[in-house]
Amino acid sequence: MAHEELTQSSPHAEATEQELVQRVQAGDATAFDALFRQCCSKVFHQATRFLGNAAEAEEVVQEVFLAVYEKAHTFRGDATFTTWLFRLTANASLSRLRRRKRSKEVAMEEYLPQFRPDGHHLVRPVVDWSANLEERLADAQLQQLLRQAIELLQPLDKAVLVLSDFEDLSNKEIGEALGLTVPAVKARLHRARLFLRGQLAVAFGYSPA
Amino acid sequence: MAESVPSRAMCEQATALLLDYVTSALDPAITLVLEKHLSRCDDCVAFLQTYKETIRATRTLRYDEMPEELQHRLLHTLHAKMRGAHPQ
Repeated sequence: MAHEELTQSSPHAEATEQELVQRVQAGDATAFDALFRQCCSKVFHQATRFLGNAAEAEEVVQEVFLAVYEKAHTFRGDATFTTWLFRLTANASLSRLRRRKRSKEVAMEEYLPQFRPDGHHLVRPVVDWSANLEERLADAQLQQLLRQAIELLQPLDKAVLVLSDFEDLSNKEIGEALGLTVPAVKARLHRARLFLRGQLAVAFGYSPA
Repeated sequence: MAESVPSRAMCEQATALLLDYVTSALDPAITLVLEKHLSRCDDCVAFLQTYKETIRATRTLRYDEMPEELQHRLLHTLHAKMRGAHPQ
């Protein structure tokens, strides 16, 4: 394959991802470049959210697009190309997360809600700090805190959260991407959100319970 | 995750339903029971508000954009790797 830099006047500029992948499958070298330019930011963003840093996300982008090049012929169009790409990115990122030595284990349960034997909240009253959070949404310190809390999630919980709350995939699509049932996706997503809520509650000086 | 709520729902069961409740994916009959519980439980209303706001905060979280220079560099690196690779 010859790989020429694409210009803005590329004949692929208006092509959809689906059309481009079909051209890649047919051996069109320039279509690969166009596909990369069209989709690399999406992959980079998703990988950054998974991994928490740009350096590893960069490596995932390379890994994913090399896989696209090598496996384009296996893409059958059952799912959209974007879903296929999300799946490749999620799996490449998850492999890295699982290889990581976790420097600091956090007891997840400490940040989840707790209840009395009769089913009521353990710590009452539950304080509504949502207005504090809304006011501070643009605050860099708060954003950093939330990013760090996401980093503490277990790999698969983080993967589900990223695909749901950042990529807006449905629970069914997430299940297909990660090999999970829909109830398993929902359970992990709920636990991840409860954990983040607990981390924020503590940051605001309240009990997560 | 709980699939049903008894008529006198308690907070633990209500909390387990929030994922579906915030996306209106909960069965209408269960929604009614949950909303009845919420109407008389300030703790669960506060919990629901903070749960919803946490989701909103997560969704609005910003990460660095991919620099143009990085796109060029990665494409060059990929070209080099692709010369040594072949479609399977």
